Amino acid sequence: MIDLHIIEFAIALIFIVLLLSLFVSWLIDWYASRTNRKGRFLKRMLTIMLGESNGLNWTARLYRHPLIESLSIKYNRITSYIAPRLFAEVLTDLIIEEGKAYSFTQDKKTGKIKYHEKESTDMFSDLKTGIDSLPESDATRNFKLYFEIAKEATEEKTESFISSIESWYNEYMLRVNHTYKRLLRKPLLITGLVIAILFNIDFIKLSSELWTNTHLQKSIVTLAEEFDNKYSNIEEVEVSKEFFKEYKESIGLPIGWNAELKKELKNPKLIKEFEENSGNFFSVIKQVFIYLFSGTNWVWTLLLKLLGFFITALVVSFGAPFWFQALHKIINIKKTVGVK
Amino acid sequence: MNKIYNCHTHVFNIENAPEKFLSGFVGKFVSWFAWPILNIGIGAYMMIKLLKLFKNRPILQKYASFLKVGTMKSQLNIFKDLKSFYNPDDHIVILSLNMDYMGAGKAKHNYKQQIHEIKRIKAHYPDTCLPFYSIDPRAGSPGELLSEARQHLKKKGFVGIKIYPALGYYPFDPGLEEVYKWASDKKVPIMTHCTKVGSYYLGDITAEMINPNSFVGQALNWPNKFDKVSFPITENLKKKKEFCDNFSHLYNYARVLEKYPDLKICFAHAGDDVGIKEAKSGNSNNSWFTHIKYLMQTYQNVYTDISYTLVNKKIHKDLYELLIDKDIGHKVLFGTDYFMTLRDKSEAKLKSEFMTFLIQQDTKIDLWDKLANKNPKQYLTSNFYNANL
Repeated sequence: MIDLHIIEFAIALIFIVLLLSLFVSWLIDWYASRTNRKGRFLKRMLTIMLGESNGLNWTARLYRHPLIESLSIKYNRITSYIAPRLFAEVLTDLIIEEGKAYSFTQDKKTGKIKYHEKESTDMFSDLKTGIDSLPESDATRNFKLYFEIAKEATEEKTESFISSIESWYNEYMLRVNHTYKRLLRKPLLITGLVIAILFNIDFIKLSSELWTNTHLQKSIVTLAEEFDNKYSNIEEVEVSKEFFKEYKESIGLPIGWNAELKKELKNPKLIKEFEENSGNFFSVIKQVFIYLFSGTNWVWTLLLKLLGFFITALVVSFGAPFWFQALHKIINIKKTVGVK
Repeated sequence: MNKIYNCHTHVFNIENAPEKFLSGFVGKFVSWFAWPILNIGIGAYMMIKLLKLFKNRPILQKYASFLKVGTMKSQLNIFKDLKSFYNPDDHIVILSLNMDYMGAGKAKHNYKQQIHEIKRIKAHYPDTCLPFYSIDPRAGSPGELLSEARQHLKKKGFVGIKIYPALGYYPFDPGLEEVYKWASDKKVPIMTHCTKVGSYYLGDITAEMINPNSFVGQALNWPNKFDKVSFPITENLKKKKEFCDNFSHLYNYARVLEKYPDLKICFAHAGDDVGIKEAKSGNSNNSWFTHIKYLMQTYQNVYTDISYTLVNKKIHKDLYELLIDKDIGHKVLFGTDYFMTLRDKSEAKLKSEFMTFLIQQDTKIDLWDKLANKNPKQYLTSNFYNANL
């Protein structure tokens, strides 16, 4: 028989970790968006997918296509998302363009120059001309294969070709997303550690507080259950500054250096000094150092603190989706145990 | 007022330039940290904003403008920016540049892509965008180079050929002979970079560069008093920038012109303002400006343009004298070298300053019209494009 207290403790702890993970992911997303990291990553991955042969740079062509270029509104930024259908249509258009004869001619009387493009007879034949004119490469080989499959279709042959490209893109994007998430582990760990130190989020201390403070534990469990009822999917959670502010106020967790210093400082002189300068950043830093490096067991205090921070960073690096799932599962367990 | 023909501009952006391109201008160290920053949208944006903070430092303001254009999203955007300084009917020559072989690494968008984007500009502005196709003898066999050049001029809307020997080859490279022969027959205009500054080859100097093959002999008519390049080269083998002046030296062109005297070629920048000053000093025989003038006097289809050089107001008088020269004044062309010039002056200021200067001169003919309309039309007209229509 599982003790309800243990389950509630786990719910509270997981919920706190989930909020922290969401906060860290939000920070990383903000940074990624400012630096166009996602956009650049997508472009790099598409370069690998499409390759380059005989100087034909598919990715460059793709991003210069008006339909893709128009996705990047801001100055000098590239889009971080290309819809599969759009990708397939643009790529098909680029293949057709490769085989399409064009010319500029000057009118002998007016001197005006006109752009002529060979009139399209049938899109599927144009597609064949385009594929035939491509230099040999892995991408060309795929196009040829998709073309052969499309040829076998009884109707909507071009549509079949576009669908094949779309599926290829979708499958590739699954791997790209996986790679992106994997690459996020390191920034999550580092940012998690920085946040843990800055806000004094020590996992060991937090766990002990939640274990002993039943009132706090209960209020967090209520919030966690409301959260679980409200969102069935992590994608539905709309994180913002207000979102975190609201939860910070409702939870009232004893995090931050001020709270701990207030509690731990023993020396009356230091307490007075701290109270007088509590708004001063450098004073807080000074007090933190005094607190960590004074006392008889300062080595032990310091090691324990560092271990606490590291565990916080480590759990955060699992990512918000992991903790969202965990929360959902543990709440379900609580429901089952509660019924029994 | 007649249409203006700006015969010398560039629209390639940071994505078309190879990764070590900047090091030729600002040194390896600055290039090493600036290039990655400039390649990230926000990085370029921040750097431009930072430079703009220094309101009392005009040079930094100008560099901000230069970076802003150079980091624009596409060549089309740059062309649109350039067009905004001109009337809708004014014609603009855009010089493509093959930087794939300059020993500066790989560009995000190679030369083939650069040309593909120029096609898009041409389709948007078929009448006013006049692109030149860049040829590099290392890019293919002589037959392939000719076929590419021919195809681009015949069908793809290009109106001339661009060469840039300072990027690591000689004008008499055997790979270029077929193109010269064809260009000479078809009166196709060629534009070549001709100053001792600018981009240059950044790779290793090879034995072939020290003692090159040539499809022509020595220039027999080259005046003895002028300096020339002798092979094998023994000087500046370790100093790339100085060594690269050997590629562009006018003597090399004199050798080509003796074989193809009808070749229509424009030596850009009039050899630059330093060369013009040198020509007026006691060192005139070594001045590239003197050499250009000599070739213009000797060969009927040799031109020069005043691009970039017109930035320096102190030599406006010399450019004026060149333009009124009864023998060669009809072969001087207007060009600005946009957007390289943004480091010094805006396109609008550059154009209006020189135009005003010419209008103020007491002459019977409209010199501005001669420089920016009549002369360019004559230069640009070939079997493939008629600028006089």
